[in-house]
Amino acid sequence: MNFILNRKLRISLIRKRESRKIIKIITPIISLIVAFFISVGIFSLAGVPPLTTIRVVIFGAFGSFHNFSETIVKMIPLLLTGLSVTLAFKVRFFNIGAEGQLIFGAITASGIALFLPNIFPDIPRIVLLPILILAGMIGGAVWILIPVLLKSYYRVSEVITTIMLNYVSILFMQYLYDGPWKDQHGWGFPGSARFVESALMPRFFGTRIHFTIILALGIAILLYWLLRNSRLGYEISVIGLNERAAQYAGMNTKKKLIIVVMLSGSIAGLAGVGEVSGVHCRLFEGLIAGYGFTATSIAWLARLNPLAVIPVAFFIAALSLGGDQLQIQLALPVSAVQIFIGIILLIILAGDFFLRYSIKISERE
Amino acid sequence: MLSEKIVEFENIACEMKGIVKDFYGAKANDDINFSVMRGEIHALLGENGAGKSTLMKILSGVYAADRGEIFINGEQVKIASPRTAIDYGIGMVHQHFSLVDVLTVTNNIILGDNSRDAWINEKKVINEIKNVAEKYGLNVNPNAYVWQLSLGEQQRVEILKLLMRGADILIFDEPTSVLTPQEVEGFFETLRILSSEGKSIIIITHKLNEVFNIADKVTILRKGKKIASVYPKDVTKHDLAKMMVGKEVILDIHKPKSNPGKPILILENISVKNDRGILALNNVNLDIKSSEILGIAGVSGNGQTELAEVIYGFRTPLSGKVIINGNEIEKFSTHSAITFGVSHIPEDRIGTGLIPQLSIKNNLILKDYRQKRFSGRGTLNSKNIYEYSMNLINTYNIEPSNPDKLIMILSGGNQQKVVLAREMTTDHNILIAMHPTFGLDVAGTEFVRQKLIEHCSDGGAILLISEDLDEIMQLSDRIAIIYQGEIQDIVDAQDANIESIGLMMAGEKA
Repeated sequence: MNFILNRKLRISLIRKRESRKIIKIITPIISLIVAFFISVGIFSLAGVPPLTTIRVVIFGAFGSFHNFSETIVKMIPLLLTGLSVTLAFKVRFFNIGAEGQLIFGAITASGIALFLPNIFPDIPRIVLLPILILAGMIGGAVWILIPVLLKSYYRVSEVITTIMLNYVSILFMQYLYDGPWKDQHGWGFPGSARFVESALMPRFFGTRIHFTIILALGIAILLYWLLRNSRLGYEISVIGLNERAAQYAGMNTKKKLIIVVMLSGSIAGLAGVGEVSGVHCRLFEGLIAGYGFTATSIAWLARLNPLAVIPVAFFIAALSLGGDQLQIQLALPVSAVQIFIGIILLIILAGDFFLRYSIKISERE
Repeated sequence: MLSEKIVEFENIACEMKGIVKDFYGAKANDDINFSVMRGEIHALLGENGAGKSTLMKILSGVYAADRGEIFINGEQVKIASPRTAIDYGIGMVHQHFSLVDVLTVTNNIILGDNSRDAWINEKKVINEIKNVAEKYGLNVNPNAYVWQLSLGEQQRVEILKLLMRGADILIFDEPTSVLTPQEVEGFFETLRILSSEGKSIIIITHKLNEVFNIADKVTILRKGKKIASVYPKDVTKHDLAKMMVGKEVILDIHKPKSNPGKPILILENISVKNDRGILALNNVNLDIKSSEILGIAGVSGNGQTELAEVIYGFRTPLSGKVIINGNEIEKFSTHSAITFGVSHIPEDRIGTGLIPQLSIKNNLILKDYRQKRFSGRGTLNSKNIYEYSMNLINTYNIEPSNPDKLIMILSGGNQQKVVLAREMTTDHNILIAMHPTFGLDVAGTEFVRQKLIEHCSDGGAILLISEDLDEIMQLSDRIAIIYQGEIQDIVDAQDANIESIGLMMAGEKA
């Protein structure tokens, strides 16, 4: 690739040879440290002593058992949406709409949680929860069905449709909890009524860590196995790498694409179930947290490896909780927190880039 | 005329000294010296990967050499880009043309020509084109859109483009591979006119016949090194072949007479449209018997691609029947074609036949991965896949012999061996071989042709589609000539006459 600066100079990108494994591991760590110091530097310009920033962030994420457990809670939706995006990327489907699928999954699950107990008042948790989970996963899958059908039959770019459907699902959810599903005893707060006990995910160790974490870790391992060792995984890699060759091999590429992408949507939908049934116990505004976009960064940082998504999601969750503490304890504005996370992601991605390319500036003749 | 030429030869037009180019540790050019005289037609001969294209891309500014010097008319120059190259009068016609399909010939010629004023008088340019075209026998309509042109015509546009930018050294990469025999004659005539005017011509080729037909001098490269520069009149075909390959090669493959059996594939009144909605095959009737190779001769773009696509289920015909082993294909999909036992060596192995980012073994099972032995109960059986791949790697001498290596690091010849191994091993009734030796070197070509012949002797039915007329003549039992989607004639290979086939390929009914 070439960029021409002016009549004299030209910048070209040169692909490097495959780096050694040790360098691949060290690079993101060094990038992280550099990024950390840059952000701390920026905060010290705002009058916060560097050591304070570091202490607050680290304490916020890992400082106590409670804080650590909250990091895990935050990690669950990030892990699931990260896996969802990873799977879709494998068939070259750019799912930027994990947030929309998460919310739609939350909506369908909430529908079950709010109304099924009215019909069957004594329904036990062991029956209700699986129905809830299934409903949420189907919700996520249905929500992504629209973009994938548009893509495979009319070649509409999924990047646009998945993003747009995020807003549709957010507005639909707001309509529901402000209108028909509004909590009658909620003193006007926007949100649905609290779910009945049997519609809530079991939690562990007296924290808010809920059962979904086990499902999420299980899905990560399952996906890793599926992509490497199964017939479907083989088909996914062929379709993702060379669709024409997949057709040549007699694969029904449209059908396979739709199936895989719906799986991806259902994983994001499960994240929505976890949020409403495990954390908030109701459908409400707190679900809108930009998970879809963060999930895209997570998937890339993990190099589309489902197992690597686990630590990356954990790391991003820690950053975001640490960042929250900057806001709470040091009274830094929300934008400062976003700057903090933004700088770190940017520098890690830059480190990743320079691992693969070098830049050469040469004189033009 | 001859004496004039010798005088011209005393002027060196261009000289390359000690050129080295390294691609990730592989020396594509290793200390090559090369020079061209004014008015000389110089053939650059070598196998695939010998470094011919690399050397010429360095001369035309596409690549920068790691080391070495270039002199134009005795003056040392630095060629940093194709634009600097054309400023020095060097232009190259690449194997894949660099024309814009949706623009007219005139606009393609204007495009990127910085010597012109910002305000372009198109009428004037059209007149210039007509003059140059007439002078060199490069007949083409300046107002036609490039997508309407045949490959031969597109090549003429490329030549016009260079001439109108003042090129004195013209480089051609495998120029005749897209031409009919008649077009080749016309092209050579153009080259002769150009050289008589003092322009230097370099042709990259691996066809020995061409060297003797047109070249004043030939330089042979092998594995990045220059082997020799000789005058064709001083050597024989076998000398050149030996220098090119480094060992004696069999130039003529002998095909034993075959005894065709019952018909395996029958096409009845097949008509089909291409992607542009134009009729690509019109009422085609063909049959291929067991132990028979049916060759399809034709200039590319006359319906060959669509023919293969219909049989392989990529394309549904408007009308007509495809019958395999007595059963009519009803649903046209690649999956059903595979179930009916159609094997296919596609024309672009990297785009269709292989997945470069996957390993050899994962490419070898591309057709058969559904079978129980490879993926029983939905789980890949890595042991069986490994053993199966090892077996094929040994039978077909695939290098490297490690099934876990990625296809993209293989040479073109070895990639084609992977396709061949897969398509011939999988259970099938008929094999469609499309340009099976395209872009392969002499040894690779020989291997592929030998395998096709063996396959036929073992009772296989093969539909051979190739632009290489020699290949068609050498391998086929019968030859069908296709022109604009119609079968002109089907002849027995034994009493086939290359002249009359060439005429039919150009649309002249014999």
